[in-house]
Amino acid sequence: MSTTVARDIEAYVRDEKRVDWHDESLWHIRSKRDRSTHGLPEWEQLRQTASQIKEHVISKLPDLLEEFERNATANGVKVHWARDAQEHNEIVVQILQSQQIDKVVKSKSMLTEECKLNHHLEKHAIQVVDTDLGERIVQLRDEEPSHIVLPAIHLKKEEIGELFHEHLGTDKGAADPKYLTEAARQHLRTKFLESTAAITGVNFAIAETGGVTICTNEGNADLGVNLARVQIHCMGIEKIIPRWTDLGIFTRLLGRSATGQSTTIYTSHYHKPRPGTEMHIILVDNGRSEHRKREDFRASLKCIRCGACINTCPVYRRAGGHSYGATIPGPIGSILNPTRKPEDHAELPFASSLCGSCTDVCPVKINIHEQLYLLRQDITETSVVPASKTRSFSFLARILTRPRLYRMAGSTARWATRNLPRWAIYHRSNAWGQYRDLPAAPQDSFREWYMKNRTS
Amino acid sequence: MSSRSDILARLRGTAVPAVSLPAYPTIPELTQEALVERFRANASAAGSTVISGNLNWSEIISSASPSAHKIYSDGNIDTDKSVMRSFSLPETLSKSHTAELSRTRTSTDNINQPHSVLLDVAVLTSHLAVAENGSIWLTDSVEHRVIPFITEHLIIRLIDYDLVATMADAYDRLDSSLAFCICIAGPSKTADIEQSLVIGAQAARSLTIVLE
Amino acid sequence: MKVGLFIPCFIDQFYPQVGIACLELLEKHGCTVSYPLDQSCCGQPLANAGYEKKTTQICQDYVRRYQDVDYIVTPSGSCAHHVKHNYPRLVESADAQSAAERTYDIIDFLVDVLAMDHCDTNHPQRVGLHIGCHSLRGLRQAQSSEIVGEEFSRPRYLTSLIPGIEIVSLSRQDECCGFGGTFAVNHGELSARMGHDRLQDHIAAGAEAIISGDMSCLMHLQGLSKRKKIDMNFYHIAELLNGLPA
Ligand code: SF4
Repeated sequence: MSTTVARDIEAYVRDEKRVDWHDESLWHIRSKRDRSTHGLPEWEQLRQTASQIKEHVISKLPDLLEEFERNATANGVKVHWARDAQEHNEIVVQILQSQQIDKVVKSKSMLTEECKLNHHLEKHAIQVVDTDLGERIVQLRDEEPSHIVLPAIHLKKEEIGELFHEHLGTDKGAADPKYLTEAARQHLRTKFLESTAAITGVNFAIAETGGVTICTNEGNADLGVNLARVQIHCMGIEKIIPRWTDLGIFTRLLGRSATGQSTTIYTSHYHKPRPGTEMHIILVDNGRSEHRKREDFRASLKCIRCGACINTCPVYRRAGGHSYGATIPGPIGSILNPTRKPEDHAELPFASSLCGSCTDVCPVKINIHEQLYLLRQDITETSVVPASKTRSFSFLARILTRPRLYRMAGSTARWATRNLPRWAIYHRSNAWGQYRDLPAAPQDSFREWYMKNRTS
Repeated sequence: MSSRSDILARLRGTAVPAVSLPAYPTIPELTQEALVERFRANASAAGSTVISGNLNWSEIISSASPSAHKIYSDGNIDTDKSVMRSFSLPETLSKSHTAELSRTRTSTDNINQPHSVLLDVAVLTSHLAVAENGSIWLTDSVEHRVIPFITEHLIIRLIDYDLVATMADAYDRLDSSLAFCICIAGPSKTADIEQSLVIGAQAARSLTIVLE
Repeated sequence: MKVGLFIPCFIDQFYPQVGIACLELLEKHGCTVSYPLDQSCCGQPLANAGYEKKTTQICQDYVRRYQDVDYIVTPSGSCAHHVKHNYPRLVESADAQSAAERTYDIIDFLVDVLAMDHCDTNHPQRVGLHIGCHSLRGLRQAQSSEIVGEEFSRPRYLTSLIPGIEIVSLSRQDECCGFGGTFAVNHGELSARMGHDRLQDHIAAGAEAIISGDMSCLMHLQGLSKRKKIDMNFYHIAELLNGLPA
């Protein structure tokens, strides 16, 4: 197991001022979420209903996918299936190349991030422009989003001002969000107008109708799609919902959970292409069918990518999204990434205090922190954990199963804290003592007191 | 094996215990007055302007955009401004419009002066509104799907409309076979720069809702 | 009513007064309390580190030790949660199931079983109440701030029984203190940062002491504050309910 995550987190935490700021920004969103949900008496019922709908979806996934395909095809939509990221990317390129399209706009899609679509398009000389403001910012900086809903939450406005000065020609030193947003608006409008194809993610795909639902605040997905000749919607296979009316549950949960808005500004439903244009939907597996096999972790496929677990996470707020070294950061990412690629992400489930706030905030009631706990077991049993670590834990287990040994160890420790000099106790190798003093050691342990006072 | 059958076979190869679909929660009904009050409050909170009563269309349009000259309406409105009743998008938007747009970008002074590309104001009709979030719904009867997004300012007339309490009620009423429909809950916005709310991100800069 | 006391390792070693307070409180309420002398730990530190399989023996010993009592009571919400939540899965037996069901954190036991409704000690201080995450969201001792529903809080109820006490209001009611078992060691810098933020919230609210039903959170917070020479008192709620030694 590497320790990159631990190192990156430590480095981030050392910048106390930035941590103050990052933590406050995200806590602010969590508070907005609280305000909007606490005004809704049926909130918990909505969560329960959504959770059960999604469980139904996971259980019936193959049938629902076929139903979706049938209905979408009848609507004049071309449906594609991709086993993995590579195949997904090839399908996109092939659609674009068959139409001689070399410029495309893309709205927010964690799936295309997961598939690293942009790199693939660029390799094929296709210009791709992310049109969500936050995504555009990180694209210009050539980095990954640090959050699934707020891609540029890690950046200060001065940093964005600097970036825009360099790439969009805004005034040097200008950092007013209004001014910068306006500059991006103008810049992106030229991109919308010159692109003949648009790629979007999908929030929900309705089996019963064969349509897709896309939620944004900026309207960028719709600007792209409705100006383009070719619209391509990319989705993981778990995004299916059975019925049209299920949207009445999910749209009520999504915006409130994500940002505390009663709904996203734009909720668009695309069923058929405009006359004379093409509409494609790509259904992507990329590890999901394997993930679905694992009973303990299956429920994480319910995720609707609202980001609430990320905003509330006391670790994420102080560690920053990039420290996770994964496409999806935060609590849900610490399940999704290691479940699919344990060799790269084995450390993530351990970077949590298991406080459980994620579980209580999740609109589809994923037992996130319980899965993190189970994933820890899974990782120590199956993947590469340094032998020294296993040895030290075996040693601890031996002490704890032998009460006499345990008592010896305990009284030695107490004796040590009372009698040894500070430097011996608070040596750097003692990770507890590096940050904290030990409690003042009492003369007697509880057991010793009990023997003296309650046994005759 | 095709990817399709491969994926389906893999999914079918895993037995997952069946879970039935749940019933929807029932939500207490509200009176019409309460609905209207909620609608107004939530629309304003989302940054929309709601107006009703004696309507002066010249004023409504001017207050959305004082310098509007490219105005489109899908219905008859009584105004002293010249209004397009039909709107054709050029086959290829790209070259000329991009050029027009980039001219406005040569000087940064102009960034704060919205330049007219395509439409300044669009006036569209809706028949469905939702109280819990102050949103309105548009369907495929919109002449071009892009109008509500590309226009600088959007005015929605609610005529003969249903005002429902929640999104759940809205989906109940809507025809699921519509080729396209959209729920709009305010002007385009973003908070992607340091969480500061900016109205007018990429699509319409303002949303005026007119109750008729 | 026969009650077996389970005193987690770190309380036994570092906070005997908390064990004593629990024992005396239970006795005052008429319980016959036993304390099996051969106990050590519930196995949580290992399990949280991903080695729950190595704890089967620990679980079995626990189950056997408390076969003859009606209830097993412990002054640690986190340990109680581990036993209740994980033991039945780790040792699949009727005995393990029964031990899990009979295990109570002292806070829950005082409220739900003993129906404690008054307290004659007093404590004229402004205190900040920290509810450990496992007690809060694992044992549901109180409504968490994420859940929409009726407010309730067993630790707050018990604390409010103490004459003269005042509970300050925090800006982040149930933020994690960053202890998290092995997390405190593997991610020391971050854990310390979380703890300092939690301390700061209590200090800003004017707390003269931080109280909790989770001694492990308090050990972490106390350790941090001692290191930074912050003047703050820390008590387990049972200590205050039983009365601090004069
Ligand atoms: S796990 Fe739950 S809270 Fe986290 S992003 Fe997914 S749906 Fe939202």
